[in-house]
Amino acid sequence: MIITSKLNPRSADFKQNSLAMQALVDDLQDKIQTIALGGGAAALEKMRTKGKLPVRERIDALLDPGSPFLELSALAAYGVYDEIDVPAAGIVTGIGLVSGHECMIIANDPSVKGGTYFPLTVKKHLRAQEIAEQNHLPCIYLVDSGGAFLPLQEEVFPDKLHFGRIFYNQARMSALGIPQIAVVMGSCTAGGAYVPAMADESIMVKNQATIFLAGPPLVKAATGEIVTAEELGGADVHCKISGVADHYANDDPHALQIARSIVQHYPKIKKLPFTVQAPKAPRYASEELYGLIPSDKKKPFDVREVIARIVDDSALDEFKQLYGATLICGFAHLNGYPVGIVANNGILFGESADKGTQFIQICCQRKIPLIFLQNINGFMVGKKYETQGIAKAGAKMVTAVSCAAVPKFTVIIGGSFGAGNYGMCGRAFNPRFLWMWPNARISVMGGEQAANVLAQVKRDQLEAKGMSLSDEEESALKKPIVEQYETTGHPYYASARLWDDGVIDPKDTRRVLALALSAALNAPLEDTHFGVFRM
Amino acid sequence: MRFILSVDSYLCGDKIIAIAKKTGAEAIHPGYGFLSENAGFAAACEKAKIIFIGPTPAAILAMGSKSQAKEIMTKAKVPCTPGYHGERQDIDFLLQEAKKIGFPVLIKAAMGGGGKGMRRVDEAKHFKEALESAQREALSSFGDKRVLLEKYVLHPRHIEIQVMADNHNNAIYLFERDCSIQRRHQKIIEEAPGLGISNNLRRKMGETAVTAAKTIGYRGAGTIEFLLDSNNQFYFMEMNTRLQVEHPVTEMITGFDLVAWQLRIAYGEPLAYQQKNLKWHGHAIEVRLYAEDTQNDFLPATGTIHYLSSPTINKHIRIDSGIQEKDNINSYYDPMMAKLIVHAETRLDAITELKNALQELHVIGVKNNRAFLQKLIALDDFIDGKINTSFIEEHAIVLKAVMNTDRDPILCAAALYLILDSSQNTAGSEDVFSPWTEPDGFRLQLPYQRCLHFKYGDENYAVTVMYRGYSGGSRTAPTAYTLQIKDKAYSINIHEKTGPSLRFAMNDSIQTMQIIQYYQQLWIICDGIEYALQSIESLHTDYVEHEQRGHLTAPMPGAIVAVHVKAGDTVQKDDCLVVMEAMKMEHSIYAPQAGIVREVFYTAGDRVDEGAELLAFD
Repeated sequence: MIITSKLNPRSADFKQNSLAMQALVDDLQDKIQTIALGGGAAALEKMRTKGKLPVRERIDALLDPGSPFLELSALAAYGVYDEIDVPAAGIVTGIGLVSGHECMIIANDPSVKGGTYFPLTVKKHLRAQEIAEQNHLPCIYLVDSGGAFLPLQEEVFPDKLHFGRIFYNQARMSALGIPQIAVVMGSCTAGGAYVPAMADESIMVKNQATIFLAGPPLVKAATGEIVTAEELGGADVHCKISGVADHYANDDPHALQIARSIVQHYPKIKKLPFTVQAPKAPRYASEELYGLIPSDKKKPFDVREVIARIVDDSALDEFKQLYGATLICGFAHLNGYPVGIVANNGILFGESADKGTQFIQICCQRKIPLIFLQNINGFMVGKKYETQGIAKAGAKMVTAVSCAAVPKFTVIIGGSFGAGNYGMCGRAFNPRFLWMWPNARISVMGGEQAANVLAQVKRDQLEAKGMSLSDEEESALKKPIVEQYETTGHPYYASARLWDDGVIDPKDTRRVLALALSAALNAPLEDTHFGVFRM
Repeated sequence: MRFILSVDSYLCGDKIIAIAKKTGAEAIHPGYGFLSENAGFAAACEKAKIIFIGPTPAAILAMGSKSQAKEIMTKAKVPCTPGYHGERQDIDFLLQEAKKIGFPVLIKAAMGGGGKGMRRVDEAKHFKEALESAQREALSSFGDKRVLLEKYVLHPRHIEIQVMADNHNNAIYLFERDCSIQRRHQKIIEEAPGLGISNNLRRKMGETAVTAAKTIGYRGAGTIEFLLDSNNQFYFMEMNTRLQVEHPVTEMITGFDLVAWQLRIAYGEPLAYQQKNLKWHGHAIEVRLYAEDTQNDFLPATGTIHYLSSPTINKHIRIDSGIQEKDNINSYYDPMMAKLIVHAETRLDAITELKNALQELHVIGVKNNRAFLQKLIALDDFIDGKINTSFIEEHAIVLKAVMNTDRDPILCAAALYLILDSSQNTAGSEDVFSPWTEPDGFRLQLPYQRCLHFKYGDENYAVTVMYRGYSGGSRTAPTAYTLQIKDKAYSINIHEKTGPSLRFAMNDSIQTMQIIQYYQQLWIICDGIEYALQSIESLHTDYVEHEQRGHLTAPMPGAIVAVHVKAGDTVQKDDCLVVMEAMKMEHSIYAPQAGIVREVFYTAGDRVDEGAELLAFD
């Protein structure tokens, strides 16, 4: 069924919404373009004078010319470390095409604090490896890092998901047959030295790259030996004597060229688990997404209008269209790939949750990837619904989402509150990728709701003592709550902490989903085994 | 296919006759070259009771030796140019004869044709070298080193008469062809009728030609070549005892099929027409498409044809072609690839037809003379019919001038072709509609640009491509770019790309071009003109210009004929160092500057590839 849009691009609402979304997108673009400068224009220039390419140019030179790059979490560490600005957490990660293969690129940005690892740098590095492992993407590490950021070493070094996990992941992925390639283009000290050492193949740039467990100052302090960095662990040492590295490069471009030829010899053939059809553009322009999302978050919108601007030919075959109408489920194609769509169209009731559960089961049986479009305030509350066992219905949906082994993709296009986040495949439910739109919010409940709850509790306390809460007192009480939720539920706040894989422009949604779907298909689709459903 | 020399193939008369016997062929048509004027082969056919479609061995022999031919013609009162056609071949004697005739003189292979073994000598001091070279070429091409000398008539026209004779003592002439446009003594443009030839002159030349044919008891198709000077005096040059490459222009103006006539004559039929019943109509022009480097003394070119397009054939246009895409043009045979023949009411109309047809004729991958022909037929002097055998030399500057076109659209097309073509999934991927292969440079919230480098003419250019907007995953929406070349920026929208064709909007103009790529080499066809450029991979390969000084390389593949120097020799600028032969032509290689030969890498008889280092000198 082709979705017929009821949107009127000439309406005042549409225009107002468009302006509001445009402002959000412009702000996002500003932020990311600033972040892309890394340590700043001066730092980049300094790299150039040393004959080194800035990190993003390294990536451009590594990728097949003109091909896309799906960057992950550019906003990482944004505003997290109070006095220290760490753009993109000092590491650029993303998926790109290298010699025709989709690869995970993990590249230190030496212009940002010498490429040292802050806690979020580690988290971002591990997340990129997690994506690579889930989707069987060869990993290419462009190494240029001073190792752990020592002032925060206790948040970087010791725990399960800290620095050591990088090497654990490398070894495990190598065991799974996922190529691990390191290109050492700068320093690679101490723990970092294991990235090239653990790689299947490594490349070093002469007179530029160094690998050692301890740098010259530490060596001098420990043994009194005076040695230059180049003598201690330069490309000549490691490519000709120690065997720590495998390929010797003259400069950055040469090193990247070697990496490209290594991938070129990777003989894996990408097999698809289903037939694909020729992609068809949606019948409606993706730019119209700006005008359909109400600038007033309290106003509802029909999520079918969003789907119509994302899927091939705007065609969606709905499942249980007349039942549980607050959850839209249906089959569609996106860039020619079959997908099952689960999208909120209001609050979740028992029926809608049951519908979602059944639909997820069908998609898992048929091995159809799932796309979740989240805009959810939560499950319905109240005596009637608790009595009907809404918790049971929600649990079933959460079970289905948790166990579904098909690739899952989540886009938070509006609110993501409470258990709705769980049922709709939030971060904890291992979607292959999760993105937020710049208008989205994420928290245990809405800010207003939280403030109301708090005010209600306060009022109850006061009334128990025979006192009452004035309107002024109530709004004074609510204001900081609303503000706090606004800050900590904001997509930038979420993305800075790696709760998602990035904040995206709504009009890029189709392109981003297509790239992610294609990347996910590098791994074979697994059978799903569901847990016990509470009936 | 293994390439073998013609002496081992087309020149093996006994093998050809054996095959004819085996297959039951009753007759052999010898074509234009190779054995077509070989009396021995004609005699061998007779002996084997196979009809040789051509004249008798005696007639071939009579005309085969140019000196003998001139003797016969002089006796028959056919006007001849002064010259020495005798048997004495020693250098000093020939030099004396040359001085008697008066320079400039022409040295010709006595048994030759097609410009091979022919040298023009303007001064006595160059006579010796030219003679030796002509003798060598004569020996290798015709198995006979004898030469003759002739007065070199300045600025003549080459007018030839087509004759046809049967076995019943009938002979007629099918009018004339003007073949004055020549380079390296080989025709490249032929037309019929000859411009400004009066009916009277035509009859006089025609009747003289028939007389010549009858004198030697000629049979079949033949051509009497004359030089026509500016006073309408004509001199016998030689007779070609075979059908000629340019026969189609005669066919176009007479409506006759000359090969059919040859077959009928060979079958013994008398000529179906008498001279008085013959008519001609309109004007026909033929151009020969050669694989050659017109910028480099028309040296034969080799290579693979990556793309071929031809004009549509109709009653005005005929193409006789021996090539197709993927063919390899090698150095073992003559570099002529195809002939394009047009016919129209008037000469001017024919030139217009030719101009249009050449616009649509493209052979990409091998250097060829197409653009040269285009330029030539556009010259006023050609259009006005002011032609003679030195036409190309006289107009060399204009003909060699590189066309001064707007380079930016060409560079844009090259860059767009590469960026639209650059992203590919690995072979075997089932992800046939992969969004990763869309070459839109998609980035999240960030601009994307690339720089491409080209060598175009003698200059290197950088084209910066800024990606504007992406295709939204639809593969149908136009993709937009901004291209910057030096300080100019162009807004580009791709409209269509199908096969080699690319249509795009560049600022406000629509450009339609064809682009053909072979590794780093790109050819762009725009408005019927071909442009060649080279893509330079800036990032991954260092582009190094080859150092020319101190080395001499072979300009083409071929064989070394003579080496005039040895290691340690002191040479002056322009001294002849090495002589090569390729495509049956000799090419001398001269010292680019004075110096001492350090080492010579080849000796006479060696085969060399294009670009092979021949010798080193300091």
